[in-house]
Amino acid sequence: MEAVVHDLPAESRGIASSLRGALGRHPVAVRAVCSAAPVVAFLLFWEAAPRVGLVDPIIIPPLSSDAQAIAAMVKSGAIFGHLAASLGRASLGFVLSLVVGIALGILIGWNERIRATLNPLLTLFAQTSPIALFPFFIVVFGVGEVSKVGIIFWGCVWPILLNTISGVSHVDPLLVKAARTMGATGGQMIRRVVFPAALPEIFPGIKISASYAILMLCAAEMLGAKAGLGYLVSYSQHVFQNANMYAAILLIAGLGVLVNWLLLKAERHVCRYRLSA
Amino acid sequence: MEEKKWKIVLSNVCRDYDDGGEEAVNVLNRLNLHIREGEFLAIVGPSGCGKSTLLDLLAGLSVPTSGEILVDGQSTRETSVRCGMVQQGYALFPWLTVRENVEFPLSLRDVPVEERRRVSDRELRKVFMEGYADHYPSELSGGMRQRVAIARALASDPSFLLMDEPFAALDPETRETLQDELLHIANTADKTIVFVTHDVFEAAALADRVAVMTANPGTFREIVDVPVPRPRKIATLRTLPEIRETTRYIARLIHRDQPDATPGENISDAAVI
Repeated sequence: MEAVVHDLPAESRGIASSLRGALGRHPVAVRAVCSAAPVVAFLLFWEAAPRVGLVDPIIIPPLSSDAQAIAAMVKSGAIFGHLAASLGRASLGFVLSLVVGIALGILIGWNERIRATLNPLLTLFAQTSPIALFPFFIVVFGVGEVSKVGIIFWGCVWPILLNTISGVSHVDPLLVKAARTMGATGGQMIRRVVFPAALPEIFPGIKISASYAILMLCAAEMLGAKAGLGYLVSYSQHVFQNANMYAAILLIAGLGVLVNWLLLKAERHVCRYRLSA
Repeated sequence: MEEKKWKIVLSNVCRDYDDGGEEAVNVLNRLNLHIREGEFLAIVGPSGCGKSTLLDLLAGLSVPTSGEILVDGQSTRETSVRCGMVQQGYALFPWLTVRENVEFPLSLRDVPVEERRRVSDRELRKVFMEGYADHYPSELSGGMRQRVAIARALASDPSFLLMDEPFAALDPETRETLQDELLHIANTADKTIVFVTHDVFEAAALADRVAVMTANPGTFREIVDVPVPRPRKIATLRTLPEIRETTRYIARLIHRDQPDATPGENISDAAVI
């Protein structure tokens, strides 16, 4: 448990300084280098393979050309429109699912009868692949923004909803009883007891949803959009601008890593009381 | 008519449980009891005699099927009870620090921050936990957690304290320390305390009176006076003849209720001293 706490500063210090620091003395630094090595090796391989003729550089350009493509799009400003479109859709769908999932989840989880009644239906919905439903969304909502945000929402809402229901149903009844004897009102009970008690179980659902948001975003943008990172991937492929396609893929991957990292930070902060056990 | 001077009055309290259409189970039957202001009352009895059900009724979490419970002359049917509850499982909010836990009941009522702080300082000092205000419950031992739970119960300045086997999960040494601290708090805070326990010695040592319950249906067999004045000290109580006599008497009352039982836990409790 102690090591986990010490991990944080070492990780953020970055690879360079870890290497510069005493490799032998610091087991944490060694571990950081070890876990970074496969990533670095993969990126180096990507750079080297097209250059030495292992793969066709037309089909897979070296990493540096993809990076140049990003730089060029940043310089021309073209990338920002795509980024904004994608971020807007993904965050709108994700935030909607967050609000609806948690509110509905508390409502359903708090009432045992509703929970038992709705559980089979919710499981059925959650297990239905949202990508399979995409044609349905297009039929109902058309090809506009509504169906794109809608499909992202649909993909994101289930992990949050199901985890919230489960978390709420696992709240320690002793805590509820204690709060009731202190005179907590219904609203106070939900806000001050039930929600914080369920949060450690809700958070993993939020993390899954965030990665689903990006997944659904790409799917939605590839199937019909005029801007966005997913659109950039499929458009670049159509017009044989492979460097741009990989640039967009790299940005999507980077976005995913960034979101995951932010949520991990948030979870550590919110659930910090568990780390001190 | 003179019910004003009584803190808690139980008159003919019955409580049935009907688990869905079947015949209702009579858990508590015709309980009658008057508890004085500032009194320390212990409740002992075999498992399943309805002690927890009785506590829920006193806490106002449920209402009697028939009969009446008056707290400060007011029926629990009409006004909500505000009591301090201390449970065996501590029931501290794990995501709040010690101080935030103690201030929790005050924050529910929008007490100003400075006032909350003053109260939590005072109550934490009472239970010798002022040095741990910023710790989380998970960082504390069982005894320390129960101290915090007591401080939290006192912080809301409740009308009375309900304690449900609060020291049962603690090791003997810690239990004795906390019993002494509770005796001290009971003396100085002048709070009415209703204390449920399995430990007959604990009941006799802490309480002014011990209500002995029997099961099926749960009812009071006898209310036993403990003829030892306050202030008391646990260490001296162990060898005190009056306490030994009372403990033995209570144990026999409970045992008589289970004629075909082998000498049970309650008897061995008494034999320990």
